[in-house]
Amino acid sequence: MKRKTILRESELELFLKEKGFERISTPMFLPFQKVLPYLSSESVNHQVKVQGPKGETLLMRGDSTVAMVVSECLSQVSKGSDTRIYYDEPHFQYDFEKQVIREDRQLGLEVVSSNVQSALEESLQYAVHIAELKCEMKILVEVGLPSAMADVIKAIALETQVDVDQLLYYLKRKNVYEVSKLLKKGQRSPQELELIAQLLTSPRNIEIFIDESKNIDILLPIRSRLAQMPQIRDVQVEFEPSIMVDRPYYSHVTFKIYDTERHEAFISGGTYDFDAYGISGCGFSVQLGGES
Amino acid sequence: MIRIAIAKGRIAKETGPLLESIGFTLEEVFNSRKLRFSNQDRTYELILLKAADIPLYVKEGAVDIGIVGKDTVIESGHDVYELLELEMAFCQLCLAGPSDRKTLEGGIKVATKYPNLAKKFLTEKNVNADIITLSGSVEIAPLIQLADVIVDLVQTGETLKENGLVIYESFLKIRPLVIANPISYRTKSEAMTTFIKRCERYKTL
Repeated sequence: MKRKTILRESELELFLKEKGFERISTPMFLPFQKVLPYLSSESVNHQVKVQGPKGETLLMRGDSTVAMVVSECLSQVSKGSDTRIYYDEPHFQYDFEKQVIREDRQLGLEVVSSNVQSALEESLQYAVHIAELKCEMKILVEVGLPSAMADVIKAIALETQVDVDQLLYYLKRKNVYEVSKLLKKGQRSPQELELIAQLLTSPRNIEIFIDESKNIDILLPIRSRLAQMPQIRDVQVEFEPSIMVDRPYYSHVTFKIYDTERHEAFISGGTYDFDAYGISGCGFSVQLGGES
Repeated sequence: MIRIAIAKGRIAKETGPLLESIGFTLEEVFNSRKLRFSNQDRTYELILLKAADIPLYVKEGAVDIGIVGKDTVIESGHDVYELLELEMAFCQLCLAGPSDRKTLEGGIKVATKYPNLAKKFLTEKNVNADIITLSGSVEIAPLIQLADVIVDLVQTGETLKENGLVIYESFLKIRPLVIANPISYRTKSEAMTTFIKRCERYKTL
């Protein structure tokens, strides 16, 4: 059977319209005042240098389009009711090797709702459906819990008196050996330390993680959050601890969907709370690929 | 199929038994000028590369797995997964210099192939260092006054000794790391787990 390798936009648009999504035109990078929370003078990943409203140089994350979209959409979004929008999302990444800004084409989708949990559930269902439209082979869905992981890392650092950045460095690199060495500075039993190091460095099926971590108090923030994760029919969802802060605006849950055959992640998203705009919800982006 | 890159030289030699166990012909790997090899059932492809290039190949997904010294991985700063540390090819990253020991106070010139690591460790020791990056034969630098001291890998210490240098301090114990591309780690997880388990069996050779 010939595999689909392209996501047909007409097919996708039909699906989105059926689900009540409205297409909006993509706002440009103006006005800058509205995106300032996502600009800073601090170094970040995939940064792009831009000129701020006062002529100053600021560093912008190349993937902060959603912040701009949501801020621009305020006029279109009737506050208090759920809103579903989609748009062409220019995705800028600074290529450090070639020293150029690359622009990829992708589609952004937002379920804007005061109920973040229901927005997450809906978004995950749509994301998986879209993944299946594109990819007839096996997909892999991974979720990350940036805020719960941050709480756990802080608690471990406090207990073991190790440097948070050092712990974070090895956790992100899945270096179970170095993580175990750092954890040994605490008072826990060797068996428990080994299990914590394994649980925090390897991806696991959500139910397995909940089961294996049930007697480890320090992992409670992760376990509680995972217990609330929506079920997705016929799809295995894994908790990936190393997904911590994928984008600056994602709050509680992030997710990625991989095409295991094509060796790529083509959908990624997460929940957000833009307090400054009184907007919360869940969004994700879909890469629009070509024929292979 | 899993594509593995191994650093040419000592690490490649010491991983010989592991490579043989997964179906590579060592005679072909070590006695030919080829850089790319397949095992008998074509489940693995081996690429021999210069150590310094391996983290980039892995990060970009050109290879799924790399076996390379910890020093090279840290120095590169590339985002890769560090899945296993192998108990072989042991050496240390050291600060070394002439036997009439140089004082580290007031600023020193340091020759090294590892500018980031050297900077990191010397900054932690509050040493004001002017780093000179070289690509090889670092030991010569203090002898001809290019630098006061060196930061380099030391295995037996013989090369230092023959050049009239001594170790002042050891910064980091270095062993080879098995590193993985984050996407391959997910999309080829089964084959990768099998390989890692095999590496664990050959961890101490």
